[in-house]
Amino acid sequence: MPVVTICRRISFSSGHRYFNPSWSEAENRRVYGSSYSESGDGHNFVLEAMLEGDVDPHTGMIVNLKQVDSVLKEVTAPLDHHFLNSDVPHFEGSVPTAENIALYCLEELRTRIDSKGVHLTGVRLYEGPDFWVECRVEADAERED
Amino acid sequence: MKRTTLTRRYQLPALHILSAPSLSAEENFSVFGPCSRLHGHDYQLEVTVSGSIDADSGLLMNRDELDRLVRKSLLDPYRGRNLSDYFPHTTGEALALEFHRILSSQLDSSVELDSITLRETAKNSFIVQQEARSQ
Repeated sequence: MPVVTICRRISFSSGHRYFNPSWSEAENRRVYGSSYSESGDGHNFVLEAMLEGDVDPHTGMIVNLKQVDSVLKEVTAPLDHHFLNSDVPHFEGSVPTAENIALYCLEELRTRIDSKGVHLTGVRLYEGPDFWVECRVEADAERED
Repeated sequence: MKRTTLTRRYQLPALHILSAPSLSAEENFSVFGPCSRLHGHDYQLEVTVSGSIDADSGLLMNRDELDRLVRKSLLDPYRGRNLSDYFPHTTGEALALEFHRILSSQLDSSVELDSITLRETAKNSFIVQQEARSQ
């Protein structure tokens, strides 16, 4: 059976700052380099969710995109038009780098989407057009964790 | 188990020509078509690295460091140049392989070069990917 993957995209506009509050300004500047800024900066982030599942013989689809959209909206709404470092409780304990935003979205999407009979195999998070982070759930361990 | 990669895209406008020295101009044209004439592309290079995310910084890799390595090893030496002066074969697939080889030798052990995607035109792209290590 060929594996069918669909990818759905949503965008959200947020502010964030590459800054670890437990470090000095100088240390933050050193670690983050040009990603560091005093005020933080903003992006039109784009989140792509990759979904895998069986094609339903009746509908010809693996999942109704409306359901996917509502989950993507639910997960990104708390981020959209917010400053992530201060407004999103999850990022009180970690820096909202592109890496950590991708991981956060993966975890938030995972339970919601798997409950609809399809598997989330990964996410891609774009921070601007020329930089992105992809996080994939490894197939072998998928059902264990 | 999760696997995270980080990708940055770079611009690499350059010249190339596809021709075999042993063939005549006519023969080269019959094999390589219009690519047998010297021409250029706005190549785009997508560099993907994989590794673990540092718990304190939240970074898989510092972007400046990746930019510096890509600039030093690929952009500065070849941007605006004729790639055919440097490589025996300059098809998209051959260049992607060369670029992957060059760049992977530059990375330290904390990250691995996962893949290189070379976009030659909007229609043509070439991906060289490191085979996944056995778990």
